[in-house]
Amino acid sequence: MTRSAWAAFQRGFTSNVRFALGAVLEQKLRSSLTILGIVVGVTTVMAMVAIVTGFNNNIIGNLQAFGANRIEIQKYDERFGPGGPPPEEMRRRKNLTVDDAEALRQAMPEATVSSLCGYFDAVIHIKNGNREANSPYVLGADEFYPTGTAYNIGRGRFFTAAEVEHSALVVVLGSEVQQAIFPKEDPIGKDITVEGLRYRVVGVLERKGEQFGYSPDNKVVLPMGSFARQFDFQMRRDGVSLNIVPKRTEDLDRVIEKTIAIMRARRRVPFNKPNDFAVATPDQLISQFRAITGGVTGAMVFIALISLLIGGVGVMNIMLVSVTQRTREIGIRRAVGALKRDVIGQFLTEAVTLSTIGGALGVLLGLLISATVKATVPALPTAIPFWSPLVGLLVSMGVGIFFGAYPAVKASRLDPIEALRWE
Amino acid sequence: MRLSELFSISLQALRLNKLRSGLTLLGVIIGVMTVVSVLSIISGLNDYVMNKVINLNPDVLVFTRYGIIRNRMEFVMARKRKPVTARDLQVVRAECRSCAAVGAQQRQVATVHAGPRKLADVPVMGYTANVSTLLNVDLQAGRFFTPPEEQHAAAVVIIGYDVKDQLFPTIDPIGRTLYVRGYPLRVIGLQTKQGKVLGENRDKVMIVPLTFLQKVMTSDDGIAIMVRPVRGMKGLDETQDEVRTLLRSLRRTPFATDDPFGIVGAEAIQSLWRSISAGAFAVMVLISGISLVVGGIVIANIMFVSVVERTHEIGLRMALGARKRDIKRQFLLESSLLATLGGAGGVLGGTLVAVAVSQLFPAEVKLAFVAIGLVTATLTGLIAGLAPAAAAARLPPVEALRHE
Repeated sequence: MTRSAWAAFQRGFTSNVRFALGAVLEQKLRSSLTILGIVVGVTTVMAMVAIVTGFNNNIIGNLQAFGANRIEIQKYDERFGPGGPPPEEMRRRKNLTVDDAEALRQAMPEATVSSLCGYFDAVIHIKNGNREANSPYVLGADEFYPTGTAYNIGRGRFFTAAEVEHSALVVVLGSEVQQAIFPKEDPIGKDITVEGLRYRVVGVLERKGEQFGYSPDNKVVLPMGSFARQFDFQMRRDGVSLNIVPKRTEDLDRVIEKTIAIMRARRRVPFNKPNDFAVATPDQLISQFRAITGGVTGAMVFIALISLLIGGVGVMNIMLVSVTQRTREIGIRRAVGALKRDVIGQFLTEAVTLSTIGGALGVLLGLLISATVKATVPALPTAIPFWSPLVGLLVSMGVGIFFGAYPAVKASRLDPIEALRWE
Repeated sequence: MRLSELFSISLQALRLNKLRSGLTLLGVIIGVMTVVSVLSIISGLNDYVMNKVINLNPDVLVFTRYGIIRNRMEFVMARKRKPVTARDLQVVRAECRSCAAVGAQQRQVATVHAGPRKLADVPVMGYTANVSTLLNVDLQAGRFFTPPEEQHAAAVVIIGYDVKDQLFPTIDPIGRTLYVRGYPLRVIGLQTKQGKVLGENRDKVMIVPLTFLQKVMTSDDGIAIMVRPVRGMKGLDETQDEVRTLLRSLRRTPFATDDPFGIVGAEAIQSLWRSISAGAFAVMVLISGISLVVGGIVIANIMFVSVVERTHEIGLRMALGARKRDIKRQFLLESSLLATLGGAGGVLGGTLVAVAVSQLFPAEVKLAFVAIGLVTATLTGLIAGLAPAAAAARLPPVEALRHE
């Protein structure tokens, strides 16, 4: 649009809107059906975005439940997809050790380093008298475990440094294990058996809730040395994994760098070889997850947009009808001095009015659906991103401009004299 | 009024307003196109999983130590089971009366050498000689091993295409020797190129007789016994029971205890896949259906306009003896004709999209989708036309005649 056209547009804007609203109201049935088309489209897109966002937030929340700025060092990456043993290079890697954790701790006072080792592969019998927990798993950990994995202690306390140092026979229960074997009594100070060996309960971890189909609460935690004594085959096979949390969030990048440098030096990795251990941060996991679900969510939003496109076709169709039926009106306008661009402005405004009303109603309906889903399906905490209502409105306006352009131009091209003569 | 007459009137009305009819058509076309292409892509993906990823004939049952594992609990319980062994295979082979074929496979990973060349982490499949009747094994050159070779644990191997490329890049591999764990193996066959399936390279593989694999490598997890019933698909239940009984009695399993082994059939895997994917697919079909709803709204709108514009014509028809029913039928026919035409265009467009997509991604148009596209389009037209047609039929004839 040239500058003068823009000025004319502004001048005529209010009257255009008034005219447009009049025209829309005059043909109630027709306008409401046209608007309905846009409403359905925008609502679908809004609801889809809300549900997808909710789903993502749910997963990301789960990932962050173990610490938003936690760095995890493992022997090899978690592998998804078809099974089979890890490739040869990975199988030959050295285990990570408790000494690695100690070295990192010495070198980085600005971070908390915890080492842990889990045994998941068998049924572990954990008993209080004749009550038995429902196949929990066993972790060996040091006194830094609660910080390293963002766990809070629900009751009692965690191990002390001395208990870890002396491989004391003490245990901290996950909340699910506590419910199974101490349903009524206070477990602190009581004895339980882990695979027949007697341990004293000193604390209970706070509940985290089920995630990705497994429960992190169905476990017991032993001091690393006690674990190594009882499950030494597991320690020998997989070694430990390390969790590192910087004390100040802004140190995260520096801590990652330092950790990698120290680990490479300790494991004597030549400078021209890649890391022979895996470093994972929650950010990484989240982006991995996004890569998996991104395609599906993109496709869904795309398909939802198609219905908006069809709504736009409806707008165009009705505007064309409107132009034909109001040919005489256009002729009169032109005869009393309206310019071509005035006619364009008039019909374009009408189209945009239709689609914007539809967009606004669609946004409202989308918000409503999102709220309903949130209230009825707890697994889908739908959320409306702040940009989504905005984009919904702008896109519906854009649809009005795009599909209103041709009818408006067609109206402006009518020969004034012919138009006046039209019946 | 006769149907053919109605038909020609409707067509005429549609032709009179070409642009308008075209745009209305476009709405339905896009809607049906979306539905048809979404259906094709979903069904293509399903077929891909069934045929390529799972790669199991529908009439074959597999008995393994683990079966399908869905969570840690099942894994932990399955770890306590005894592996399925060559002795189990022998017994099933000898005793199973309803089995047309009994085979087995085992998977290991090894490093392969040939002269100065080496390839690490190659999956080595140990098969029985009759496995080609149970699984799809296509050879490009050479032959499969024979029952005597299986019996004598012959050191022969069929290699996948990548193994050939890495170890014998420029020469014919048949008759050459390669080494696994120091054992010399004679190459007797070359597998047809399979390509990648879900990122897993199916060409990086070697196939050896099961007996040879068991001679040179041990495994805790044992073998997988595969059986095909004499009566084909109909005999699956009977054969499953027979083999179950055999394996249970071999393990002396008390009658009230669960099977100490897993049974995998194509059906079980399919239902697992469905339980994973059905939700997302249903949502996609639903959303694409919504675009058809919008297309219906566009039709209804245009039909209302059309009724208003042709009020005079309707009055004239009524004056000349047309009954309400006739008027109603005329507009219904017009809207459903419009929608069906759109449906046909949409099916065509959807097919084109599916064909284009199938270059990159599995997608397949089935006759059923064409039918679904056409039928839903016609239904959309009928439903969208109901209200406008009723409005037209309700017009008082005298008023309508007077309308300008």
